[in-house]
Formats: sequence, structure tokens, C-alpha cells
Amino acid sequence: MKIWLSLLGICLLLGGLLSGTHVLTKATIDANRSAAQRAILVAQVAPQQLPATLAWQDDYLPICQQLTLERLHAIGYGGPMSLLLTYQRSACSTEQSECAEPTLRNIVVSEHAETPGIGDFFETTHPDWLQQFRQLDAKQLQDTAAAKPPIDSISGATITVSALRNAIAAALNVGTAIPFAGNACDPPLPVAIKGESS
Amino acid sequence: MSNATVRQQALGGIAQANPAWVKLLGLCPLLAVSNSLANALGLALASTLVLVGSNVTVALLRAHIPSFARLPVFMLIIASFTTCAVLLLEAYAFGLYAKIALFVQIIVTNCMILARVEQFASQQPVHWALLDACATALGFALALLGLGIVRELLATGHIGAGLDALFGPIALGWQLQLLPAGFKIPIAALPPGAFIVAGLMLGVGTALHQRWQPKQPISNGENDKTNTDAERSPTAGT
Repeated sequence: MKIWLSLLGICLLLGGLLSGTHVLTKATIDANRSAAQRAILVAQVAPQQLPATLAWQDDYLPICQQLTLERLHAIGYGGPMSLLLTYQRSACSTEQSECAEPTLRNIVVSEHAETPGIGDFFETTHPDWLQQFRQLDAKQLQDTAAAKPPIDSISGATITVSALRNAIAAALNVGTAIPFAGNACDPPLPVAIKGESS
Repeated sequence: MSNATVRQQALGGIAQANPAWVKLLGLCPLLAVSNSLANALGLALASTLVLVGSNVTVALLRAHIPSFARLPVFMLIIASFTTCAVLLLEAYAFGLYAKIALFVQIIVTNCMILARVEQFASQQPVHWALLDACATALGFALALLGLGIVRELLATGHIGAGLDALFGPIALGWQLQLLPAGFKIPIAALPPGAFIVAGLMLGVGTALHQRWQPKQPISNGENDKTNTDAERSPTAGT
């Protein structure tokens, strides 16, 4: 009986240690995570375009008439991943119904659990890999398994590459209209992003 | 066992029983994270927290830890302090956390820490366990920092980049350009470079040690090993 009480006491002591550390760090960790997520969003649009409060509509964040962000979820080799897609369309005419079809402007991985230095190729060894999707439309990405679109593979990262490719293909194939906000963009056009011709 | 012997064993972790360069323990995080001084310093601090916390806790609770369950209890204690280190790193050094979090999480599997807890802290009073933890952590930190400095210097020509992730904006100017601007050996920062640089440093260290060590008569190597282990064991003679 004494042995089990000792073990219970040790467990309670360690539980208290973990709880205390969690309480001490929770606010700071949440703030750090929010700041990191916001930094990724700000990199896709001009900082002044991003509202203080992010009003996500399901997985879409309409910024203005010409710009919308979408978050996607995939399961990579290391676990869940999140992608951020930026859609852009040319300026609308006076009537909202005459807006042009949106195009995919940028793709970044916003969260992942891949092995640093090995599985995070989209940040380190192949930082431009995701940008090749910008040049493909939904038709080219339809049925990725059968059509075998011209997507580069990454040696040693088959599962993650397939997960990213399938998530993006599914997003581009979705039949629902991509929502945009009603207000005009300010500044009128988004800032240039890396690798994009001005 | 006399106090002098215990103190000698506790302080041995700095040099003559250095966990990384002599006992070759904890090499996975050592090689993976030591591609820069900032990363090495981050892991060294996290390892120190876990080592000191685990050693002290085990020494405090050793009378209450049942013998049959000591290893699971040790692992539970080490895992708890590792989780605390991860949380603190994520809260107060988020930039560094994003780079080395994985290797901080696997501190829990670092056999260096379990070895010190099992061999020393579980059989000694708190003050000796604290001294042993500090000495072992210092020895591991010296190994990490040495490798980190050499690899960063070879790979980039400078040291100290990214220290702001640990110390804040005040550390932005701490980067030192020690080699000509064009000097770069990129492989030094990659995994193969870790093995090459660590191997060379280990070889140089062993050569210097043999040069300075007084020559001893050749004897049976198996007996030498047994004697050395017995001398290092805190239970020797008890």
C-alpha cells in the first residue's frame, strides 16, 4: 500500500509541475502562435489589407474584391499540415457579377510537423516547389493519379508530396464559388510576392 | 565512499567522463542540432534544465521510489522536465523553438540523462546529485557549443547568427565574421558534415589526450574496461 501511495504522490507532484508550467506559459505560447500565423498571412497580402480580426468563412478569408485566402488541411508524413492558398482576380466591373475568374496566386505551408532538415523540403531544400502549382489550372490537376500532372517529385518525401498535391488538386476541383469581400482592395493590387514577375 | 571520491565522480562529467566526447552518449541531438552556435546553445540550455531537474528530483524522492518501478519512474520524471523545457522554449524563444523543437522533445530518450539518474542521482544526496547534473550538463554543453561553433564557422565563415532568437533583439549585433566573406564549406552545416567534423574533433581530442596522458604499461584491455567502469560507478565499493 505504501508503495502505491508513493507512486501516486510522485505522479501528483509531476502533474503539478506540468500544470504549473502550462499555466505559466500558455498565454505567451498562444500569442507566439497567433503572431506566427499572422506573419504568414501578412506575407501573402499587404499588411494594411489584413483586418485586425480575421473573419474566416469556413476555410476562406475574403480580403477584398480581388483577393481571398484559403486554408487547406493535409496529412503529411509527420502529421497534419496546413496550407494557405491565395486567390486573385482582376478588378471587377461596376457590377459585382462581372468579376473575372480567380487564379491561384500563391501557395505556402503554414503549419506542419515534418522532420526539420529532412521532411520540410518546402522550406529548406526545395522552397519553390509549391510555386509550380500556380501555373496549373483545375483541369490539369483533375484526377492526379490518372492524369499524372507535371509535378516534380522530391526524393524521400513521397507521402508528403502526394498529400500536398492531392489537397491542392481537391481545392481547385471544388465546385463552389470562391468568396471575395465586397470592398475594393487597398492598396488596389497586392504586394509582389517572391518569384512573381512584377 | 568518501566525499572526495563522490565529488570526483560528479565533476568527471566535465572532461574525463564527458558524456559526449568520452562516453559518446546523446550523439543524435548533438549531431543534428549543432549546425550553429544558436541552435547548440538552445539545446544545451534545454538539456541542462532536464538534467538538473531530473537529478535533483530523483535524489529528493529516492527513498520513496520502489526499486521494481524505478526505471518507469525515472522516465516519467525525465519526460515531465522535457515537456517543461519544450513549453518554456516555445514561450520565451519561439524562433529557436521552430528550429530545434523536435530535438528538444527527444531529450527524453537521451541515455546520458537516464544514465546519470540511474547511476548517480538515485544513490546520492541532493547536493551531490545537483553537482553531478551541473558538471554533466556543462560537459555536454561544451561538446555542443564546440561542435556548433566549428560547424557554423566552416559553413558560413561567421559565428553567432540567430542568437536573437534566444536573447532577443539585443543579440542582433553579436554575429562575428571570423573568416573571409567568401569562405564557405556548406557541407559542414549538413548531416554528413556533422559526422565529419565530429569525427575529426574526436580524433584530435583523443590524440591530444594520449599525448598528455602519462604512458601506462600495456595490460589486458578487458580488465581495464572493467576497472574503469567500476571506478566510475557510484556503487563501487558499496
